[in-house]
Amino acid sequence: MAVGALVLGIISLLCWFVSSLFIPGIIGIILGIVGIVLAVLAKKKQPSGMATAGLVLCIIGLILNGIGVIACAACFGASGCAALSSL
Amino acid sequence: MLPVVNILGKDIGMYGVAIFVGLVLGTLFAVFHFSKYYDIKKEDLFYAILFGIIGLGVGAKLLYIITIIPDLIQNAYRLDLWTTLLAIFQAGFVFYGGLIGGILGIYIYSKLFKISFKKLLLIIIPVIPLVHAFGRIGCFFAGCCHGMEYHGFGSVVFTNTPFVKPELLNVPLFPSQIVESICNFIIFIIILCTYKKFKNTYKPIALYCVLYSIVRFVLEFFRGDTVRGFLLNLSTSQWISILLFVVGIGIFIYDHKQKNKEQNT
Repeated sequence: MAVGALVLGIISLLCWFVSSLFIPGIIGIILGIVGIVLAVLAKKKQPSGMATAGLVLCIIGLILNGIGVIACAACFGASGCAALSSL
Repeated sequence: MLPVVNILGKDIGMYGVAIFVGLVLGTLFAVFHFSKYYDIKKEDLFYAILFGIIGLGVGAKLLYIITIIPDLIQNAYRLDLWTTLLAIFQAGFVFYGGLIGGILGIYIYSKLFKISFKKLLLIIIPVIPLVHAFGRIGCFFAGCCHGMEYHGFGSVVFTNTPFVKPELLNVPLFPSQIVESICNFIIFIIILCTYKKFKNTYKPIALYCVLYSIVRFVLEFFRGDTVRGFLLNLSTSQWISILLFVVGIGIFIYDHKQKNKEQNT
């Protein structure tokens, strides 16, 4: 699980470095989330440096991809509705 | 206002930056301040917050998708896959969905590792208004969640943002995002000041539920953004606010009864 978290964290970060486009960003967010869950499970089971590194990378990946992709949140579907109605 | 800034060729959404600042501050307050009053490991608390943040994102998005399903079905014949994905993923989160998802995330963590769910809630929920306050500042930068047309003190004019309807661009609007942000900061300060007094009770949670539901219910009358679900002249968020208010009062009563029971025994 620790190795999995580390790999997912690296890929998540790569998604942000490679491109600021929408699809890589979404992939980076999903991988970051899965990686965080794996890293926490690994750290609780058997704490290791690899799990910590995976956790840190996944958090950074999630933050960078999240900031890049999410334009607006916490509002009641403002932009999504706007995107639909502007079609 | 300023939805996106370009740094070193990367587009950075100001909403994301604001919510990130809020989450970091909220986590620091929870881990280093509120946790002092309860016997819980900082590491566990941090992981529970991570699970909560994941739940928050997933819950807010899921509830948003549920609300746009009718629109998607109605427009299905002219939507391509890309536009649908964009409409679903890039924007639109429902705060109340996030609240439920976040609590569910914390619950899952507490069950997985057998940690007191009550303690986690009592430590994490007080920082929600702080994170939300920063989120609303992000909304202000993006231009979403704006108010109705208003020409009085503090009105704001959005000139170029995709989140404001074209007919409301260059029109003075009520600064609903800033007002809600200030109210959330005030709620956070009230909880912060009363936290020690309410230690080991559910009162901080009840206080948040009651105060925020009142603020949101009133502010909804001043909102002027986009399509909002309405039922009997009240918006969806106002109905949820009524529910949250009832829940808050219920928690107060439950807590009071528990205290009386403890005193009697």
